[in-house]
Amino acid sequence: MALYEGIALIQEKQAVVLDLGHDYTKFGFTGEAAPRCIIPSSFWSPDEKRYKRVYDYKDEDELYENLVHMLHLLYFRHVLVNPKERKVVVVESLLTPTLFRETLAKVLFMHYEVSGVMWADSARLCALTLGTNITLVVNIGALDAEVVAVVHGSPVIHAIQSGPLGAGAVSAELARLLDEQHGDTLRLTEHVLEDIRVRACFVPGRARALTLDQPGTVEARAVCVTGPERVLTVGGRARERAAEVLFLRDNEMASLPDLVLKCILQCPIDARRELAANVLVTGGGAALTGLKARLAAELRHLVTLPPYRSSLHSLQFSFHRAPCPDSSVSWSGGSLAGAADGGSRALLRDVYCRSRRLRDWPCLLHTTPPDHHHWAELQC
Amino acid sequence: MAYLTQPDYVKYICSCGQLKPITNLYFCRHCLKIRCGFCICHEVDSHYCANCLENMPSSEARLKKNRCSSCFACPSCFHTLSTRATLARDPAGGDGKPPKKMYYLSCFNCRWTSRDVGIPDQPVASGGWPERTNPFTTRFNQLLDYYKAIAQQEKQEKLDKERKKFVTRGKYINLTDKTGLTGAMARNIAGLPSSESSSSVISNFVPSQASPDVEELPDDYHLKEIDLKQITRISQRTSCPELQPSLASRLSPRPRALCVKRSQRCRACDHNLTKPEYNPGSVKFKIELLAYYHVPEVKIISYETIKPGGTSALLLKLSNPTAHEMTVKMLQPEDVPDQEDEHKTIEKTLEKSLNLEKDISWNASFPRRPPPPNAGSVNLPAVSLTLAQRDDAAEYDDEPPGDNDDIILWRKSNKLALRLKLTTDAQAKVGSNAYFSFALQYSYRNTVPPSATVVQHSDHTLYTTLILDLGKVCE
Amino acid sequence: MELQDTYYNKSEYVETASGNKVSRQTVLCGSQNIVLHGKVIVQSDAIIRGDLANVKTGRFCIISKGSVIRPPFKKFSKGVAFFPLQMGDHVFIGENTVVNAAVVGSYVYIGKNVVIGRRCVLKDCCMIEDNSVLPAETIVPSFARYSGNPAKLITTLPEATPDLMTEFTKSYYQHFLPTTVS
Repeated sequence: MALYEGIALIQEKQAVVLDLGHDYTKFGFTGEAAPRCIIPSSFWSPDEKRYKRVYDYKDEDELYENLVHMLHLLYFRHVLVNPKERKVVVVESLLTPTLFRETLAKVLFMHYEVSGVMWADSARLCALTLGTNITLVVNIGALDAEVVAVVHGSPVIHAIQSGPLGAGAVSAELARLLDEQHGDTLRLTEHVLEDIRVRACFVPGRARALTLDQPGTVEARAVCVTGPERVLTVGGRARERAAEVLFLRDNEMASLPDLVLKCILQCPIDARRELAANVLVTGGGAALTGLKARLAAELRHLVTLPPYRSSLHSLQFSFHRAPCPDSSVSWSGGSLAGAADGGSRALLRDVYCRSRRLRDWPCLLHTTPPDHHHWAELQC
Repeated sequence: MAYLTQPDYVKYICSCGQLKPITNLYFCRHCLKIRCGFCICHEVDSHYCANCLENMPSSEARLKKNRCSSCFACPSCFHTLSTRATLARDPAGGDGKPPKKMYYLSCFNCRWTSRDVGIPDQPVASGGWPERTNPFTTRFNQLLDYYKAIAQQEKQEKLDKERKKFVTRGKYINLTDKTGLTGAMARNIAGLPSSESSSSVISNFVPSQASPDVEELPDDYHLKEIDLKQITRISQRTSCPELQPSLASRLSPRPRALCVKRSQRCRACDHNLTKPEYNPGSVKFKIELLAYYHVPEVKIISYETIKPGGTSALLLKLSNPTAHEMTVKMLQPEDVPDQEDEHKTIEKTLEKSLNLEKDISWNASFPRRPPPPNAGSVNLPAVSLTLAQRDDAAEYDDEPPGDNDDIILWRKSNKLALRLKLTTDAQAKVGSNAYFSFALQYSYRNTVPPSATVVQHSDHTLYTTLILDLGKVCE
Repeated sequence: MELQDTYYNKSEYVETASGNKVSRQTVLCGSQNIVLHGKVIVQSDAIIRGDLANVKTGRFCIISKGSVIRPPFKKFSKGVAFFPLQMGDHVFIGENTVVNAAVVGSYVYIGKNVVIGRRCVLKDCCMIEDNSVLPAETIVPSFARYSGNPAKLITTLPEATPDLMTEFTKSYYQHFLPTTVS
């Protein structure tokens, strides 16, 4: 028995890990430290004769076609393997829309005939790259920032916090500041904004951020960014204020540090201290210069204010560094998870074909324990 | 080539429902169906480098992570780097030795050179370039070992639990029980550490240590002058997923990614539709079942502008790409008999019955978009038209004048020009797309012998539906 | 869509015995070094620099208005050397395009306003879209469709490209007609 299992392990083709982000897609093999490729999540659409983003879809059919094209690009242009009879680890957010998940499952199982798919949420995978038992994962993506507490291998679902505070929010603010600076609507493309954000913008420290609005503050130095069409002067104001949207507090308490603290507050009381001492800030948006330091300073300041003061004031924050660049942390976790258990947790193709159903945490069918009285009621 | 530079005026409806120009369609001779890139199975055939056009066996390609060993891509603009030679001057100077040739890499597009990042010149033209290793590899492997050990332990526990359920074997000690041979062998084969060390891997593992300090920006960061040329763009970072360097001085030449030749397979019958030749420079195919070679081609010669409620003339060219005479009849799309039923009567070969088990449920999951609404109808001639076989020598012959009548404009070897009338709906909105559709019924002679013994051609009557895109409805 | 007829002024063009149609308004330097293999169209204001090195084209090539065909050079330590430029059959070169390639294979389509850098190699069956710039020493593999500045692979061409290109150049030649003086 054990012998045959061993042989099966060798014959099993190396699985692939797919992290289909909103802006960038990470794709590669399990057991490798870095993805084989990080490419924009867009493909050349032969019908429309332009690059099209995967997430530009109106209905399920369009999404299906987008995913087919995108996966074709990934398999045959970048990773160069046959998708058939190969397992896939899909890195997804816990908040992925059901339509997207189900369509992706359909494309993988039915169109590309992969042998199995392991669905894994990115927060747990990020925690895997550290090896710690209790981790607070702050994932700043392209659109959303998500804060998930992972306690002994399971995410605390009711404490998940998320808000539209990703890199996209910074880009939007940057566009507004640049328009203001030039007194004109510049209509900069996403690529140009991304380039300015990545290369020129930074997040000032807390001490400086407090003085930004005071008269007499010396502005940051302006830089000139050479775009495809013209040279654009990016003023100091735009450079250092673009990311301030992430820290802007209002009555809704929806700033990035607020999300973190609210998540801790909703977690079990005995995990809070550990969570604060094991924070991991990841995601492409976290690579912004100075962002992590600022977040740390804001967190330490915010716990001294109400409403957090009463229950969180004694928390000491400590931060982890993942063993890979920020943008591919969850991918690396997927690579570890896929390689470690040899795909035994994957949803197999024949199982999927029989039931056409994906396990999902919001679905009561999958989350109700077998001895729960609801089942009995259902029977009668 | 006009197909590649012009918009797609004529689209065929593939058997999966997609609309594609004829150049992007395939024709499965075994199912007698039109297929497209969307509904067929693609497979990696051979790996090659698009720059040096060398083939690489797939095992080697896997080992080298799909990268060429001799070609490099520019880390700055991703163009291919060229090797340039210089004569190294001896710093001591004048001891009579001839100057040695040294090589460095240079990009002809953005002028980046390997000297920019301090890579020393190499004495040989190819290879020997230093490779940047991933600084996280050690830690990553530690983690991997740790999780593998845990997975192994879990599995072992599960096995032990199961074993305890059946207390069997009696008093005889089995050889495998005594030595634990099978378990150890399995782990060995699987490349996992043996169970003794696995527990030590778990106990020796050190989780990541958090630190309260986060790297702060210097206080005067906002006043510092930054040179944007020294900060990498995001595409430069993502081109090197291991390091994602943020400084231009950390860029390093990256071995060029390989390309693949693909072969394509019909999903319904598993026959190859295309299979390329192995040689990367070759543009020939061993198997090439393209719709362009099997299905009558329809081209628009010209048409009058489309007006609501009006009639317009349309000139079409039909050509027969096959080596057999073809009879073509034009039908309204709704008059096409149901293809599925007919399919069953045509083919009842052994092959088919074997394939019955094959899962064709993927077909159901395809999005089948309804064809776009027509702006009107085509007045079709009720006659059958005969198209001669394709004859490459015919173009050198003098053309006999064809049988011209009010429908057939002219006839040249395997081609035929038709004069048709379009009737546009009176309700058609001005500015909406002027789509017209019709179906073709054509005879097809299949030259594939059904079995090795019977050499017999079989004739079939096939149908295909086309959609003509005639711009917009005008006033 | 079928190609439309293109008309030329009969007095402007010279037609050779092998079917080449060459405009008189072209600059053909070093014409003894230029070999056009038959049924080639060279349109007005095209420049072919045969004086630098040999230029050879295959059959059914179309060299459009204002394009420049120029053999590539390479710098050596002892000076500069020019290399012959070879072109396969059924090649289309668009208007105002500069070709400095070393080799252009057969069934190649090069669009308008394209710059092909020196010593590029264009393999059989490839397509360079309008307004692209191919940096020096680029090798374009078969069935690739390049676009942009610098030109990058955007997609692949259909398998029938050789036949499409053959049909295109042949019908271009057939539709390239002298204006009939009535």
